[in-house]
This record gives sequence, structure tokens and C-alpha cells, in this order.
Amino acid sequence: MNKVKIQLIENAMIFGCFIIAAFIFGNDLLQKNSYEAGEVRYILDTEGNIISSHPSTTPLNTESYPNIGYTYENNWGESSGLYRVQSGSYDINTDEESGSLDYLSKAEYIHSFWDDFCYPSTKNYAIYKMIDGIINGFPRTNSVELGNNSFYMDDGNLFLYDIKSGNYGVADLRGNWLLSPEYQKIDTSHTDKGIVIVENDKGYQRRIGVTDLDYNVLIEPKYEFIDFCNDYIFVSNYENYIRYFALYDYNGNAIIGPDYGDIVFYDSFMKVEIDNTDDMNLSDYVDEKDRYYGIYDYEGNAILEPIYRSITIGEGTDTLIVEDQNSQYRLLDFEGNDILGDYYKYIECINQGEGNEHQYVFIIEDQDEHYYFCDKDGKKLSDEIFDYVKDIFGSDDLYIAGRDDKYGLIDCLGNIRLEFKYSELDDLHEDSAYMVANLDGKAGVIDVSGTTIIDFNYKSILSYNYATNKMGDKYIVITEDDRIGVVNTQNEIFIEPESYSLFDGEYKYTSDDEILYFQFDDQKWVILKPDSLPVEFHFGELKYLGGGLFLGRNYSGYSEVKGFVIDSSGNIVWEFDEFSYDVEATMVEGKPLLVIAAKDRLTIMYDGNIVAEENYAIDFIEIKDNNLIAVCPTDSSGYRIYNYKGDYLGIDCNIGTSTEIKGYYDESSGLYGLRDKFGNIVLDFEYEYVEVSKYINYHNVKEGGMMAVVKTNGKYGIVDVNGNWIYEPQFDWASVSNGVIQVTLREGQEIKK
Amino acid sequence: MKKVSDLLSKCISLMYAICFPLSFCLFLYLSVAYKGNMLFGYVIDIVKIIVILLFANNVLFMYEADEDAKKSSKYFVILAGIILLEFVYTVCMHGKYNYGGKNIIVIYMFFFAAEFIVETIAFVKLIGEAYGGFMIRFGIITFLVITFGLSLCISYTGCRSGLPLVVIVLLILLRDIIKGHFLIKSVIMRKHEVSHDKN
Repeated sequence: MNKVKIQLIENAMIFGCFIIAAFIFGNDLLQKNSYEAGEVRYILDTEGNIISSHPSTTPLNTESYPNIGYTYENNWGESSGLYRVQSGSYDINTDEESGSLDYLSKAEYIHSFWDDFCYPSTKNYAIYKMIDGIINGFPRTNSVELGNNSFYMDDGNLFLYDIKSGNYGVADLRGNWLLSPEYQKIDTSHTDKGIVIVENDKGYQRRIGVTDLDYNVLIEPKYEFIDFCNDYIFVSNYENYIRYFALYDYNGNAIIGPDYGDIVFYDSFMKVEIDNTDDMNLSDYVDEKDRYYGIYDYEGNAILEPIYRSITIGEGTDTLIVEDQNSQYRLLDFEGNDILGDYYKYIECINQGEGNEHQYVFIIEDQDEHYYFCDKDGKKLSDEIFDYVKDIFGSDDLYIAGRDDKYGLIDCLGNIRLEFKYSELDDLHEDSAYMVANLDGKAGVIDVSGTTIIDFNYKSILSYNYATNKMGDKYIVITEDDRIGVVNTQNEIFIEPESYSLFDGEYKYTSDDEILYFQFDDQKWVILKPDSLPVEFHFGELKYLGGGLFLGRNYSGYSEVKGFVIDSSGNIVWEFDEFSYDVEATMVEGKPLLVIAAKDRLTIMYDGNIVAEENYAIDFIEIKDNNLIAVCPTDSSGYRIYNYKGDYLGIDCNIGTSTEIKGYYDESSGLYGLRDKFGNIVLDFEYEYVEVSKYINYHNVKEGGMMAVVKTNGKYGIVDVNGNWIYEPQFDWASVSNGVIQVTLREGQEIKK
Repeated sequence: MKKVSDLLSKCISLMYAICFPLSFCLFLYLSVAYKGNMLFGYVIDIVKIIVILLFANNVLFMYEADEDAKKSSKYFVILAGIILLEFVYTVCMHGKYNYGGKNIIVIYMFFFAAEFIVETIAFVKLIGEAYGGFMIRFGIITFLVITFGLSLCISYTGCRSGLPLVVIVLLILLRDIIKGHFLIKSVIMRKHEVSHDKN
């Protein structure tokens, strides 16, 4: 064999090796790039029937049931930067594929190979980036990770990525831009309306625009939100704190807008708001005085020009109450005709309740500050006029009225229901049956029939306010000699009036322990409670914790110097040596429960005794409604749950969900269990996994019930709220996320109830 | 038959001389323009691989007597193999890659560097001592390309460089022209050799 032939064979062998290497290399890359559908996940009802199934590499997303989301993944590692997940969704009832702006990826695209050749190649990309890097400098980090989400659209065009701008546009198959690459997303689900929605997303703010089906821009992409209303496109966006609205037809013609402060839709018209933002700091909210309201029909014609300070729409009366810039009111019909024919100082519409002869009446205050009632046609209901009329909240047809500085009750026809003899009359909002009245200079409480509930013996009686909103049938009274006490609606003194006066702040009342406390002097507080002498404290601040316990704090300047937990008798229950602590208290079975987290130490005190003490760093503590104590450790290992007796129940596996049963984790055994809302064991710590969820009402499964998936000996089963098996452990995987049972099945596996 | 063989031999050398600068310019244009349909780029790559393989074969028969030059055919085959791997990588990753990541650029830099080194070795072996003048020009231009290439790598790893793009492009083109010149010249010289043989 001559040397040339030998060399020829050597060359052939070398290239053959390269071909084999290329084959292996290519095969590996194709395998990594291809998308795996994952296991088939079955959705079951509670009776062992399969409702639906779909392959998905991650659990089916049941958040938007009956729209079920599924995912396919490629085979790259998550850290490779080439890892991709494609999502899709289908309707469980119709099995139809559905999508939205967030789910652009299509199942067909996932399997496409040749389609990819329509996009610039990896090599082009690398060359482009090298050139770009030489000219503009290479990026220092890989922080900008943009995925190529280009795809074929149903109309045969491409939603194509443009590397130069980093945006997407619509291109035909020859690469000609039909819609310039200025966008990030496209929504073609509204083509039946002749429009396509495009979204331009700069990372911090999305801007939505609209094009026609030939990709001509109808609405410039400057809106943040888009919706459809009565065959119109309703768009809005924020600029700092100011929101702008506009209404377009499907041809892109502005019906209202583009810069309205608000649009509210009614059957035959729209209420619009224009904000005067001239000379205004755009980082602030628009003042009431700079808001102008008007009414437009759906053709864009003004029924009322937007010049009014307020417009109240009376859908039950077909009326508009408009207030102009001079605070003059008019009553108009929906066509803008003046019903009363004049301007008034005030007009208010009152709903007296269904079944009432006059369900809707109007309180009118004329220019002479006289009040009277009229119906929706502007007809006076009586000739009686008053100096003052005020609706009693929740009373339907009773009004406090005044005449010649005397107050009583009337109905809308002007009939006097309670004699005009009180110098003051004030309703108590939350408790409309009673009113605080002042008769001959003394305060008392009466009901609507005028019956005295609390005698007229007091200098004043405090009406409902924020601090005393839980006082129920009790009232804080101030006696003629300026003593403060509490009287109930049986006209009994509940807390004996004592000689203290409010120094600063407001009166505070603890509903669970019936204690009145307030600051009566500089750094001095007093606690008043039934059948007890007043207890005084020297604290800068006194805060009620619950369970009859208070937190008292002393300050030096703005810094806390000492904190104490005290009971209502003045005994110190706990003294804090440090400034960083968390304390919670409540009443459990009539006895105080106190939980303290300080110095990386948890202390639980019940009925005055320490029932649990543990040492670990704590972020915060919380006493739940069911009296279980949730402790959040700083190591993020999950909420540790204790009951009021100090028993440790485990780590809460259902953070944030208020459920009848909860999963708990036992660190010592590494196993999970289930407990009811009181902490009682439903399933002991015997399971490798637990997940709890609430039933959703589908396929006749009762809504609101609870179920949990548990794993034992490597198999998943599903239990109900009482720990009874819905499905015994038999599945290789199961989930009850969002109340939908989904499992995987081996080939030929039968579902056992 | 000999005539056909000679004609083919000349054509292959000329194709090699033309193919490299042409494919470089075309690919550069497509990348800068970032046009959509890139199948054309793949056709160029395949043609390039075939031309290199044919050229390697041609070298083997052309320089039957020159042991060193003959061996250079092996390096041309290796060059074709590396371009094949790059081609397979590009095809398999097409449309699947991670825009914005640096890894892709690094991989292509590796491919380009490997191709450059192997081709340089192949030409050094091919040119040999017989064509000293070419060797000096080829050596200088290769040195410059390597220098600027290293600067490019340094700028890539963080030190931003103001290296003008046009210099490196022109250098590569100049190198291709020198190669082309050598190949054409070598064909003519071979023609003379054939004439001498006849005489």
C-alpha cells in the first residue's frame, strides 16, 4: 500500500470519528432541547372516578379551575440557563385548549423543530453579540436573561424576537415586519372583535396597545390595563398616583378620553371624571376639589359636561344629584332635565327600604337653610319645613329633625314621631335603637319612642367612637362633678364614676375584661373596672394586651427604657430587661394566657404559671383565633405551634390557611401528622408528607369540606377532615392543591376507594 | 483523464481560496443584519465542509512527493471535522438558546479559535519551506489575528476594549486573501511543474 493510500485511510478514519462525535453530540443536544410532557396526571372525584387527565411535568395548575394548567419542560438542568418550561391550559369540561396573555406558548410549538429555522441561528446570535460587545462593551453579568418566545401565530405570521431592540414584533414568513418590534407580548384571543392586543413591557411598567388584524396600530401602547365593556375597549393607566381612563370603539376611535380620571359604566350612560392636574405634583393624589364629573352617553355625547364637583347616580330613582363648583345642588333626570327647577344648598337621597310606600325620598335643603322632603318627581311630601333634618342610620323611615333649636324625630311625611323637646339629639350609628339626648342641660340615652334608657343625670354621655366601639350596651358617662364612669342600658352603674379627667388621647375600653382605662395626667394612667378601686400607674404608654393584662412602657425621649406586663390590679407579671421583645396575651377559658418572646427565649404563662419555656431565636409570635400559639423562629424552619397548656404540637405545614385540619411536622421523627383546629390529633406523626386543602365545589363534591393527602411507605393516600380514608395509600404521587384531587397511576393500576 | 483531474484540482484550490472569505463576509453580513431565514447560512457551512474535504484530498494527490505537505491534508480533515461539530451544534441549538447568556459566545469563540489554529497548522505544513515568502506574510498576519483575537478575549472577560471592529475583520480578510494568493500561485506553479515534466 503506498503512502498516499495510507494517508487517505487515516483521513477517512479521522473524519469518520468526527462524524460519530457529531452524531453523539447532536443526539445529546436534541435530547436536551426536546420538551418532555411528563407523567399523565389524573384528576379524580371522591368516588373513584377519573374526571380528566393530561400529561404535565409539574402538578397540574388547578388555581383557575375549571381551567387546568399543564407544563412541559426541556431536559437542560435548571442552572444551565437553557432550562425552559412551556405552559398550556385546557378546560376540564370541554377539553378545549385555552390560553391567555400569560400563556402564549402553544403545545404545537413545543414539538416544532423546523419552525425554529425561521429565527436567526445561535451562530448569528453569537457573532452579533461579539460584534456588539466589541463596539459597546460586553455585559459584565448574565443578568439579562431573555428567552426567545417567538412563535407561529394562527394567521400564518410570526411573533418574532428582534435581537437589536430586544422586543418582539409581527413578521411575515419572509421576515418583513408587519408590526414593528416594539412589544413583548401579543394576545390574539380577541380577533373575533377585529383587534389584537399588544403589550410593551419595559420590566417596570407594562403598556398595552391595540392593533387591527392587519397589525395597524389602533390604540398606541400607553395603557396599563385593558377591558371590554358594551362593545367598547376600556383602557386605563397610572402616572404616579394619577389614573387615566379612556374608551375606544373597535376601530380605535376615542369615545371618551384619552385622559379621563375615571369612567363608571351604567346601562345608558357613563359617569366620567376629569382631573385638573395643572400645577399639580404628579406624585400626589388628586384633591377632591380638582375632580370634575360629567355624564356621557355611549355615542360619546355629553349629557352633562364634566364640570361638577360631584354627581350621585340614583339608579332606583333614575335621578342624578349634581353638585356644582359653588356647592349648589340640583336634581336631574337621566336626560339631564332639572326636576326641581332650581339650585339648592343640599340634596340627599334616602332609601327607606323595600316595601315602604316611599322607598326613595329626597331631603332638600333650600337656600334659606330650610329642610323638607320630596319624591323622585320633585313633589313635596308635606308642607312641613324644618331647620335641621338628619337620617338615622339604619332606621329606614325615621329622621332627627330640629326646629327652633329643639330636636325630635319625624318621618318623611313630616309627622312628628318624637316631640321636639331635646336641645341635642344624636344617633349612635351602630345601635340605631338608642340616641344620646340632652334635656334641660343634662344628658341621657333614649330609644326612638322617647323612653328613657339612661336617666338624664349626666353632664355628657360619649357617643360611639373608635375607641369604645366594642362597649355593647354600655356608655361612658361624665357626671355633673366631672367624674368618669360606665353606665349600662339597664340604667345601672357598671363602673363607679371616679374623679379623673382625660389628659391626653382618648378613653379606651377592653371588651373582654370590661376595663376602662385612660391617661389622666402626664405619664399617669388609671384603670377603672367594676367593683374595684381605681388603679393608677406611672407609664409613658399603656397598652392592653388581652386577658386582663397590660403592657406598660416608660420612655426616655423617644427610647423605651423599661417595659412591664401588669394585670388590672397593678401587679407586675413580667419585667423586661431588654428593649427588643414580643408579647401577646389573651383570655382562654376565663384565665389569662401570656406569651413572651425575649432574649431568644419563648415563655408561655397560663393562669399565672409558666407552662412552657424554650430557647431559640424568634422573629415574632402570634396567638391565633383558636388560641393556638404560632411562633416564627428566625431560622425560617416554619411556624412552631403550641397550645395554651404549653404543649408543642409541631411545625405548621399550612401557613396562612385557616383550615379545620392542619398538617404538622415533628422534627424529632421527621414525620408529619394532622391535627384539628384545636390542636387535637387527627392523624399521628406517622406520615412522610402531608398537604391539606379545602374542597372546591365541582362534580357534586360538597363545598367547604377539608381533605388532606398523606404519604406513608412511599404511597400517597387521601383523608377527609376526620382522618377517614377517601383513598387509601396507593398512588405514586398525589396532590389536593386548591381542593382538586390529582394523582399519577401506574400502567394498569386500578383506583381503590 | 489527467486533464479532467488537473482541472478539478485547480477548481478545488480556487474554490477553497474563494469559499473562506466569501462565507466569512456573507455570514458577517447575515449576522449584523440579523435577518430571519438562516437556512442559507447552513448551506454555506455544508459547502465549506465539502470544499475543505475535497481540498484535503486534493492536497494529498497534489503533493504526493512532499511528505510534509501531504500530511497537511490530515489537518484539513480535522478542520472539516471541527466545522462539522460547530454546524451540528448550531443546528441543534437553533431557536433553543438562551439569549443574553455568555456561554454561547464562549462556545463559538472556542470553535472559531480551534478552526483558526488547525487551519494555521495545516497551512504552515502545506506552505513549508518551499514558499518562504508566503510563510513570512502568512506568519505575520496570523500573529496579528491572534494578537487581536486575544485582545478580543480579554475585552470579553471584562476589560472593555476600544478595539476597532474593522481592524480584526480586515485582518481576517487579508489572511484569507494571502491564503487565496498562495493557493492560486501554487496552482500556477504546479502548472509550470507539469509543463516542465512534459518538456
